[in-house]
Amino acid sequence: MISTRHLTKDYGSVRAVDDLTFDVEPGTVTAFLGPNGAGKSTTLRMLLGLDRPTSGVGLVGGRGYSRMGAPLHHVGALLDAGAMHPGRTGRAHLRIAAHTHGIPAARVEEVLGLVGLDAVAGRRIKGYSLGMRQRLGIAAALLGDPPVLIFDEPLNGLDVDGVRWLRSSLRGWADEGRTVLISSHQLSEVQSVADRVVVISRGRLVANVTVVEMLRDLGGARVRVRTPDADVLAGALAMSASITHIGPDELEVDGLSASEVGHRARALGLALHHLSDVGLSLEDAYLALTAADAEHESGEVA
Amino acid sequence: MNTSDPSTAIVLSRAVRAEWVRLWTLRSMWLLMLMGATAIVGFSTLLGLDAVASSSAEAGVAVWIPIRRVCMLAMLLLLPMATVGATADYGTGGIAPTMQWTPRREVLLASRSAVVVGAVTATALIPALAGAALLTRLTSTPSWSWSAGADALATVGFVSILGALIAVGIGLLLRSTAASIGALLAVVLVLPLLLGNLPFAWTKDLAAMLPGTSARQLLIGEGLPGLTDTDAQVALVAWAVGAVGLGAWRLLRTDASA
Repeated sequence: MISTRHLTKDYGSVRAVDDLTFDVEPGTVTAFLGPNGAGKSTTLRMLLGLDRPTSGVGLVGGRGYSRMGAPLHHVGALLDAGAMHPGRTGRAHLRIAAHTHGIPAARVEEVLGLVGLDAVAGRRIKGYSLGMRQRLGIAAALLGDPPVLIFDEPLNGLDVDGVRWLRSSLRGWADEGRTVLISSHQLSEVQSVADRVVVISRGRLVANVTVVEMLRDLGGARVRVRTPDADVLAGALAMSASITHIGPDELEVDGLSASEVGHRARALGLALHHLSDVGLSLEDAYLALTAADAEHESGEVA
Repeated sequence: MNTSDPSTAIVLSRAVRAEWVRLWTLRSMWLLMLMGATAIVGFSTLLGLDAVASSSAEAGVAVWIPIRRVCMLAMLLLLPMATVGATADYGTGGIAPTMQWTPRREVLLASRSAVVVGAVTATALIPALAGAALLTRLTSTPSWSWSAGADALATVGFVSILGALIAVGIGLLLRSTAASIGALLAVVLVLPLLLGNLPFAWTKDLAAMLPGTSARQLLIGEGLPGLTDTDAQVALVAWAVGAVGLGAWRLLRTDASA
């Protein structure tokens, strides 16, 4: 289990993390989301003892990371895949980690095989792609077979196979009872694997809910319908739903299901060219939550 | 999932092993070690042939004189080697995984200092011994003086250990290989020469306190007029304690990559 209690970090006059309190439960994949500069990486660095909190605490399994004697058996983490000496081989990088914990060399080979790097483990890291470095970082995180896994942007640079492997692995690790916390901007991938979402913005907690709750809070399901008699259908539905004209013959209906819209259209004898549910995405929910607070919001393209 | 915590002694011994692997998997370390060792053996032989022949000292004692002089020069390679060992993972960002794997920073400080100091000292002592043996053979010296040898090697070891500790301390304080080597060369080479040759008493007093002057006094007896070996030893120890103290403060008290 991961816990933060009133975790706060100031850099001079800038408050990067502000009184952050949340728990990450075992057996779940929890997505840690927020805009750039929201304080996600700082929070993870404090959890891993790299940065010192100004106040508050970050605990893993009820303990502070910085006093652990064999942390790789408690927490496996990948924060920055670029943070490796480029002149070393992938195998040497892992062996250094293994030596700090008395982990046998056979386990190094085992995790290299697990992440698919066994064939290139003897090559210098400077020849690795970003995806290969991500895999190496994940291998280091798995070395001590820890009950808690923390990954910061683990999907960056991974190829399709890598993304699929990591997605199923994240789910599998959580199903084994491990606590899995991932930070990512690839929200469609996060939606497919996460059970819970912790959202922060400007260092403050914005949401700590299940994915289902987050989507539900965004509003009801919407229906997209295309008909040559769009105005007639809109008039008929207006009493029981909110209607948005998407195009001259296309409507978005908020408040009725696709089957209800279909039945109404049939009753009116209207021809439908298209009728579908509009899937709610984590991205929509996330943007709705963080829009007001986003520090680096993109401008409209002229 | 194993969650038991080992004793501090075990954590430290594992960290030392990991630091050693970290050091010997750096090509720049091997290059500097090789250059240092070659310089000590090569130059002590080249300089020593003439020096032994022209020395008024007994031949068994004379073979150690060029060794001490060459080790003084070799410090210009060995101390940067210590700096690289202390700072290499700051330049690459590798300090983050290092501290994730060894989060107890006092353990990291002890293991890194021990490994770097050990490597530097071995790279000075083993070639010094080899250089003396080669010189003894080449000059057909019947036997070397054990007391002169022990004294030379003890002095080389003392200067290497404290010099490496100063380098580690400065490296951990500045967290940059280039800046640390620059600072090190300033206090070991540039400032002692500059301040020691200016025509002011106070600059000479200042020069006498610098580690370069102390090393010069101890290794070749050419520090500054009036400077004793004891003064030089005290100055070197003070520099090592001060540098490691400041480096430890930065390592233990501040963010990993601040």
